[in-house]
Amino acid sequence: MTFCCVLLSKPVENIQLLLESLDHFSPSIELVGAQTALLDLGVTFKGAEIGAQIAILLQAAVGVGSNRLVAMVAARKASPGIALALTAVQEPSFLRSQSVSCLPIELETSRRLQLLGVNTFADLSGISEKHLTNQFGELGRRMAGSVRGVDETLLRARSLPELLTAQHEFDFPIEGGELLMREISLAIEQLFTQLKDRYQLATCIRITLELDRAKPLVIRLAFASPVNESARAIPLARERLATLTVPAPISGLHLALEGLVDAHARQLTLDHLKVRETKRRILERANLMQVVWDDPQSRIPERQAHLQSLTSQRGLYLPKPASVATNEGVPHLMRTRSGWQTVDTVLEEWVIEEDWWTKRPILRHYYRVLLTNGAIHRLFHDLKRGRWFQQLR
Amino acid sequence: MVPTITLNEKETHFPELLCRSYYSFLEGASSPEALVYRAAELQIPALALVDRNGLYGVQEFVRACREVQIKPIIRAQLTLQEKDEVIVLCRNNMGYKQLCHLITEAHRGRTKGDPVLRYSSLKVPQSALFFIIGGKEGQLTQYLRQGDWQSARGLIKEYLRWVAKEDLYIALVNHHEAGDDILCQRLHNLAKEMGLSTLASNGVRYARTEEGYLYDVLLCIKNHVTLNTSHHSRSGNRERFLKPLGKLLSNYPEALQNTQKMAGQCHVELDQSSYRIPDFPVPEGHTHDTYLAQICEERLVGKGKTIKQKVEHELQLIQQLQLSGYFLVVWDIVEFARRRGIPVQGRGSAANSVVAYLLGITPVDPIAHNLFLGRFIHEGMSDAPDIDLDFAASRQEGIPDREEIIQYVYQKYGEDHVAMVCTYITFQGRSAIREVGKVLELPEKELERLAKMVGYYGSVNVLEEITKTEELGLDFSKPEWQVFKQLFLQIANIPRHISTHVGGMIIASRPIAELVPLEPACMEGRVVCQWDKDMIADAGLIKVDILGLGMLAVMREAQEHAECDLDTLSFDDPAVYDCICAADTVGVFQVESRAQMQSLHRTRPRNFSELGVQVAIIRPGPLQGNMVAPYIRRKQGDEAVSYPHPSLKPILGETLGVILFQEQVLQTAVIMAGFSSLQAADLRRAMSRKRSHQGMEKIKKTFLAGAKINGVRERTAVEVFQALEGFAQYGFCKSHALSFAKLTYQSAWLKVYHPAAFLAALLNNQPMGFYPCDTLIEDAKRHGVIVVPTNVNASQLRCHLLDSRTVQLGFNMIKSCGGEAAKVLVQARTQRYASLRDLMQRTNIKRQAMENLIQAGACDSFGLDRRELLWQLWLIQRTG
Repeated sequence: MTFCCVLLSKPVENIQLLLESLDHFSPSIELVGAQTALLDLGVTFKGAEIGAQIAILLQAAVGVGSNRLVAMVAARKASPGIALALTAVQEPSFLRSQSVSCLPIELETSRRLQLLGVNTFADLSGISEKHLTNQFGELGRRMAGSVRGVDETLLRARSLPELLTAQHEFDFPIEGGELLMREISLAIEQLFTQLKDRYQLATCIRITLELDRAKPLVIRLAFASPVNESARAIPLARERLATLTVPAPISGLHLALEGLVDAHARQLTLDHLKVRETKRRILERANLMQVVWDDPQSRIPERQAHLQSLTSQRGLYLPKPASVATNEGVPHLMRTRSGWQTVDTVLEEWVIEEDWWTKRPILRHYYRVLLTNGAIHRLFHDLKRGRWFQQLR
Repeated sequence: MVPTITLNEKETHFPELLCRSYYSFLEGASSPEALVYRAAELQIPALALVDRNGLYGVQEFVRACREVQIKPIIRAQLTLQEKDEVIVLCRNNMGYKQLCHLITEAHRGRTKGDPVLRYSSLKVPQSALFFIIGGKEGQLTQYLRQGDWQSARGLIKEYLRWVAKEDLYIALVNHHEAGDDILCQRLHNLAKEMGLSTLASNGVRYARTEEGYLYDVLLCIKNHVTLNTSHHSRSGNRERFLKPLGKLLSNYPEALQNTQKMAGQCHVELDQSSYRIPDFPVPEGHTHDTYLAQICEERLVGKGKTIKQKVEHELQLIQQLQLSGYFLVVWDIVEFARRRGIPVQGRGSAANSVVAYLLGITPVDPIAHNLFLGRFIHEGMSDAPDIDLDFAASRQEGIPDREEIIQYVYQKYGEDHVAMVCTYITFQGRSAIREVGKVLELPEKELERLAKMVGYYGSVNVLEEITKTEELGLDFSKPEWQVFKQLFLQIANIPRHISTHVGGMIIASRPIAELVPLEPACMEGRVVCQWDKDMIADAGLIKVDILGLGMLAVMREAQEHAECDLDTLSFDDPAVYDCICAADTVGVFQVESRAQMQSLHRTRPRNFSELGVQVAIIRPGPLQGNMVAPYIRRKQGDEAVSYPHPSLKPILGETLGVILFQEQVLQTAVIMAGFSSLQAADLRRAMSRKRSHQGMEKIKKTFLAGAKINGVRERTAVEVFQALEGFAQYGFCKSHALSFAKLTYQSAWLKVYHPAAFLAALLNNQPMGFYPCDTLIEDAKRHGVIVVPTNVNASQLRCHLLDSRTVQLGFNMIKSCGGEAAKVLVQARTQRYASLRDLMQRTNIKRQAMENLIQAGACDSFGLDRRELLWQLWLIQRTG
């Protein structure tokens, strides 16, 4: 067997991308922490070649050896962009000079070994397995094996679910048609994102429509070959729905991807945070239009909230340029839709100074005024730009 | 005396009654002085300082008010239960005492920085206080903002349970923020309904509008938020500056009138004279003066005529200044220490006094060394002189020496009459950069790099210099960095919080809580007063600095080991000076640093006086004043000795024309600019206080004017004054330098004649000095000392001598093995430890300590190598 260890120079940001890069070389991948990946290359004569390719591709330090331990130690000795591949003959002499800190042991154990003057694999191999077992128990036995290059640990296997499901209940029952199709498309998109993250393919999709006061309607779509692209599934669903007549309003939707098969890798450890994040984003997009409260406490009204739509956002409470005539700096006349109106009373006034630490400081003198026609308006004089605005909140 | 100002009711300039200074710690941006000076510019007739839960800035405030003839009004804002706030204002001196008590009570039993007062505490018998609620803080305001009139009425009724109706006022404050007009209207209506009077105020937080930015930053620092995320905890505009009342509150003429009326009713004089000298018990028939004179007389027996005359003159001065009691208090502490075998010696300016020398307070003979008494006491001085006492910093067993002295003072004068002095922790170089940068959300990495370049106490100028360099790779012309620079300059030296002074204690004849509020210190059971050492001095209170000095403990222990008496040394042994001149000074007090060693080769002190100069020379003051290099060149004969002005020759002669001592600063001012001793003392004080920039400017003018009268050219006078300024706060006074030089000589003597005893004592009193233990040990080995490693079968708790040249290291040298573990090791050693197993069974010491013992070779006597011992140790522990 040949194992390959990839040590990235910095923690991986996109696990999906990393796996996609590595699964070209081997279906068996195990992620150890955020910077290390182990690949089982099986029986191959091309370990060194594969290692070099990975090292160049990812600019990572790569070690290749006959087991996990040897591969990991070799990777620690390699530099970024370089692969260190060891043959079975080279391994014993290579390991002898390595520090015991390379062993898969805790820091405290490593410290204790060094206190005893045991610094290298060679030093450790000088102590009998019996003595080591006496001193360190089971760990001692494993260490005795490790220093001789023995590591029988395989890559960690994982169990994958056989199906992926999504459930969505509508606040108000909907009829079929485009609205239903949009909901189904979103749900399919969400499911396939999960599927891709799991490195799987689906052979079938089951759509169950929960009907108001009627039995659920089940639609089953089978793919000609396993897929993991929603772009292939959505047109198929659209095609099928177009032929259907839904007997009652639809109160909910249930989707399931069935017949899941692994895309390439069989042994993966995935970060499910990414899956959750994608799900959240899709659910957010499903909400049509809503007020998003950015900073309800802000003294600047237009910063308090904005309107969020599916594809865009729009500011709320934006100030509108106003025509104001003043008397000693205080509003005296204001132009409204019905023409110029006289200010009857200034009900309240205040000053706001914000963002003074930025390139665009804000300095406004606000007036809440009562016009002679009985209307109340909120005006401000932008003291930085010398212009008047009407605040619409 | 406080200026008596008659407030004219028709006066258009109204008093400002709600002024908060930077002593509200991150809730105010200006110093009390700045507020007062601005008030004077605006012709505001009276000003009230309202800091939160304290009277921290009162001294500074009252002094500045007196200077510009503004009526000072003293008050404080107190935090009540349920997050309510009340402002308490003193009507007269009795009110001041009551306020001090209220603040002390709010702090009592609470954790540091979290004072809370109960409503019921506001009920004060014979109250001489006014209480003000409302404004923009506190529960009442909250209720009215929410329109909850019922709760607002209920709250006022609660206040009226404890406070007389005529003493309770409602404040109207308008900061020109949204809702302020309505709030004022509601407060006014409520006051009318409840039959209470209103007051008007601008709720001042800073003197000038441009300080508003700094105020925002301080609030953000307080609340641990950034400017971008602090809308509701930050002010909405910059209207909290000091300005004439009436513009925004002109709709409330009654409130304005009440404000004037209230200011007119307040008369507080901060007179601490009755607190000054503690009641030191003297034998019957004696007064403080006669008793002190008698002690001096007893100690003058057999002394020369000169000293007798000096003592007589000094005693007269002491009596005139009413300081006899102070000398007796300090003498008593010193005597107690001596009785308890605690090494003690005075330092600082007190060593200029012959009386202090005679009483055994200070170790240096001021007559023999021609010391200048004026640096310590002089005619007409209003503040109390400062006596600093050094005690051995540690003790072998029992409570530490310094703590024992502090306990003695508490017991002797009573807990109410003694308190620790506080110190204000201010924003300095690094902290200012980090805090301001964080608030502005500047990149952390850049801030860190900048902070590291500036250093802990980097001054404003340092930042100025750094921003010019390209090394950092930062573009300081960018707006965000411009703002940062501006704020950094403003925030420097602003108090952040209070801490306990390293050793300052005040002792008063009456309960201190009547004079200055007390609050808990970090150390359990300790209280600090709310004034720092400068304020204490201004108040003329007695302060004694009880400090710990590691070298005194070393001396005591080394004397015990070597069985010698350091007090009999004559300070003229050539071998000792040879050792110092060769810079062989590892472990020697004050001259062991690398900088000192480098200069010792060149200055080569050969007598006690030159040793004093050596101690004083490597200090930030002389270094910043550019005085070290000229002194060394002149000492080596590479440069002719010259004087800034011929008149200074008698003063600067011993330091080769260079100003090195504080005494020389004073004498220069007296001779060159004709300063009186009082003016000279003011100069010294201004130099040593970080907050008195204005004071320094005034003195400079006086100095230049005086020099002109004395015929000194202006250029020379300016140069001399700059040299004095550069010297500033970091220079030693000569008496202090000589006190330290004595320890320098003694420690060098020990190193020369008893190196083993000196090493053992140094090791036992670590951490201290500049060097780690292994450096000290290696240095001692070079001097022929044999050092025997720690041995479980031979060592004691501490290092000890096996013979005059051999030191046996103690268990205190082993990490995790001091204290209890060492005691167990010694106590369980009824017979030799035979093996590691035997040792572990008898002592049951923790694994880490055992590992360290083995690694240090303390178990080598078991005949196994250290690795084998470690192997066995873990095996025994694993298998039991």
